[in-house]
Amino acid sequence: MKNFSKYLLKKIGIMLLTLWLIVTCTFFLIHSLPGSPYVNQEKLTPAQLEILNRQAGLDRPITEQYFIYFKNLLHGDLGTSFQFKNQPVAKLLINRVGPSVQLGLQAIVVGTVLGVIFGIISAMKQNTWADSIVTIIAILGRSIPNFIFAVVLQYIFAVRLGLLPIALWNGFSYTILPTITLAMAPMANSARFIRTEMVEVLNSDYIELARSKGLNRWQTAFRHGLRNSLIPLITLLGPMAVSLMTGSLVVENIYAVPGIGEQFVKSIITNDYPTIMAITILYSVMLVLVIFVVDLLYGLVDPRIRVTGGA
Amino acid sequence: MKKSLLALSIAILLLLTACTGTPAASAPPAAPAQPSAPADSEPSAPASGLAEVQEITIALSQELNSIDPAVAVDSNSSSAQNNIYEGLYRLDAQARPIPAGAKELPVISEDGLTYTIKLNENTQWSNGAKLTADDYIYAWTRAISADNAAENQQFFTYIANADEIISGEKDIQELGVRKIDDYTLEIVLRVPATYFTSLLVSTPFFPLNGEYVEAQGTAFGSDSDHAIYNGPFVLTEFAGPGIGADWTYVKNDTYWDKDNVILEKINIKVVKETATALNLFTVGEVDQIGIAGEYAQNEINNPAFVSANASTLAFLGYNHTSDLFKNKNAREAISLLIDRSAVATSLLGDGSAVATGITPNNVQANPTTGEDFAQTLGDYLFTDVARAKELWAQARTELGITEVKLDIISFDSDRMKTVGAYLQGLLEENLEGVSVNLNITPVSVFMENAKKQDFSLYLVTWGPDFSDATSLLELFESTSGNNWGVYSNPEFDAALHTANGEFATDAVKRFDQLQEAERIILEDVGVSPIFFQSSALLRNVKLKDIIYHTTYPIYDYKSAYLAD
Repeated sequence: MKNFSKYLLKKIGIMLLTLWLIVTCTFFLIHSLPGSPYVNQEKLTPAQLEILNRQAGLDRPITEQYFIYFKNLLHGDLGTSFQFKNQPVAKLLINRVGPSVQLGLQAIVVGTVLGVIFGIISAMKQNTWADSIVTIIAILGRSIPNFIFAVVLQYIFAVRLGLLPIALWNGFSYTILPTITLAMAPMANSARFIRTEMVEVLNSDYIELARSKGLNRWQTAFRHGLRNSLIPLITLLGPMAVSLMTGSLVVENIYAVPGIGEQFVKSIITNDYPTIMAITILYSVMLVLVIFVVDLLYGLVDPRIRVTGGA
Repeated sequence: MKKSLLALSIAILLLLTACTGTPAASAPPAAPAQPSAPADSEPSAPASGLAEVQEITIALSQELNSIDPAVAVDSNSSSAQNNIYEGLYRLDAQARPIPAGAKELPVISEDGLTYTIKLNENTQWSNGAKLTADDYIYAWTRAISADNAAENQQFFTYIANADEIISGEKDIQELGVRKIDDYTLEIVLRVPATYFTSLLVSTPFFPLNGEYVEAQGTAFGSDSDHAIYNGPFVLTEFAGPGIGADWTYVKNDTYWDKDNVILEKINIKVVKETATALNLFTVGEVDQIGIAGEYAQNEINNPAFVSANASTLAFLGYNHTSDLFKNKNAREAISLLIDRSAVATSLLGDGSAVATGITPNNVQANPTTGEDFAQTLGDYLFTDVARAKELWAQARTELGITEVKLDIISFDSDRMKTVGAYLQGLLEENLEGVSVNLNITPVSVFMENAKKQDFSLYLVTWGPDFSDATSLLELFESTSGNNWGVYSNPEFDAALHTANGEFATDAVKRFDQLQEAERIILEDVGVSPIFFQSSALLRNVKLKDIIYHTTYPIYDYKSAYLAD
């Protein structure tokens, strides 16, 4: 137990250090971008820019700005958006992250469940027509960019068949097409991983042993094969979940989802410093947390990886 | 005439249905319930072709940045605010200011400096509060004291002391605006500006109810429930700047001119992808979408295609600090190469128009004849490749150069990429010894390069800020902060100064003088206009009478209606 708390403390320390580094690097990088954060910057004269910079504190030395920002950040103040007037960035984020997280979670669940099922079928029915179909699906899912899926799905299911809404954000039915689009990548990845890992495990000696002890094929597959394949899968899925939950510019645009993905890109293009910082922080916090959770999950899935003294 | 007839029939319709009508579920708390029109209660009088349900849905490509008139700067916010607030004047379809919050046009003193404006006593706020001169003064002083006031400085600069207040040299109390009585406002200008009345239609000049705004504090404008309105519509279901991906305008029953407002409800949906918007339009889920580029080219023969008055100037600017472009022959050679008609119709083909000069159509009208500024200017832009080559050869001899490397800079947009590539090919092909480097970057990078004169030629678009030729011409004044090519022509400067100085109060002479100024710069090839960029739309053919303006606010739905 003592070992475990020491391990936790060390982990959290590293997490905080990582976040600080990310915040600091991002801050100096974005402030070195050319241009100003004002909406109609192309029409502003140098004199007007000077006044605006003074009001916004952007005329101060960059290190001073950094310390002010960092102090505010520690007080939980993420600043106010330049693009959206008088809008606190925190409020902007809280409201826009919802749809992205919802779509991301749905996509990762749907994608993983389908992927695992496909992967198992593929591994168990190795080199049959079922395996080939799954492989083709996996290859397509990985190689076709999601904006193609988005457009094609939208055209077939919404425009032609009229079964689902074309776009916008107005209830569960509006999430179906974007979810399927986003689920393609995790589905293809998990199917491929599960298949490879299971095929390898199923051919190993200890499976032969289990089989000889009378366990049937499917039992061994689930008890041993699947469990062993989950480790690499979790490693892969963690960061993928974060990337899905922080929104996709293309999918959000095509389905008119009011998510965070487009905001991130737009804030960079428009030099909306507080928004860029806040979204970067959000993204890093999620990523760091997920990596931490994944580390803990390893132990759960495979007791051999559990923390021991000195580990 | 037709409009007032329509309005009358609508008023009757409303009156008749008010007793039997059922309130719509989505009526906002701020506005009284909207009666809907059941089919059986339709009046026997001809409904003059109005659709039964006056509700439309519009797709916009951008979120609403702000509903606070003091801080809004972009075109989207401006159009939105024009529906829910109203300033002293609105623009009519010919871009002339017409009284709205004011009772009549301003009484202007002899020297053109003092504007006395009687207010419309029938106006009120959506919460029932009276709207008086105090509301204007409160809103303007608030806007000029705002942190980002400099972003709107082009509007305020004409008011006495506004510039000094914005730069922090003077106190807000010294602003040249005062209340004579509750319904009379006096504005003192820094310099005479005949177009000042047109400026007053802009969002920063909208009134605000001080008592309400102060009570709300920082929550003011944070969503549709934290604002009160005085425009033709009230805003509902808006979650806040940058948050709300849809919102609704509902007819304002406390609006002084509500009898002339026909639409009951306008739903706005933010759809950023044109292909998606097109799908939504095709199945009839939305009544209007914006389109551009190849989508516009494909739909140009669609009866729903609307090419809104092309009002943004796209031009090629020269770096006048370089030896090459100090030479007029070099500039003229380039200008003569450009086939403006090919650019507008074949290359872009999205409803954009051939540039006839710097000032686009419908920006200013001749005060005596009513004829358009742009259309009566004369021809100054030609294509003549042979002559261009001749002039180029001359320029090369005069400057003693053989090889020239030109940098064309522009910002990232489909149109700029297309036209930039065209220019690159055109110059390399026709001008001996020229190689062209086309540098297209995001706006912010482009700005950095433009402001440092780090270019040979810059390709840019610029829309007028107010309905007057000055708005674009002043860009090329030698003292202008946005004169990136550093064009400096004393003759041009003098013409512009005379127009806005000596002739400031003489509309007729001033109009001629402004045309003269534009002729001077065009003859000197100080800059080469290429095309007037259009805003192309697909609009439900039954949706009529949306007024399009060349300046902010661009779209006005006050008089719009759905035909049967």
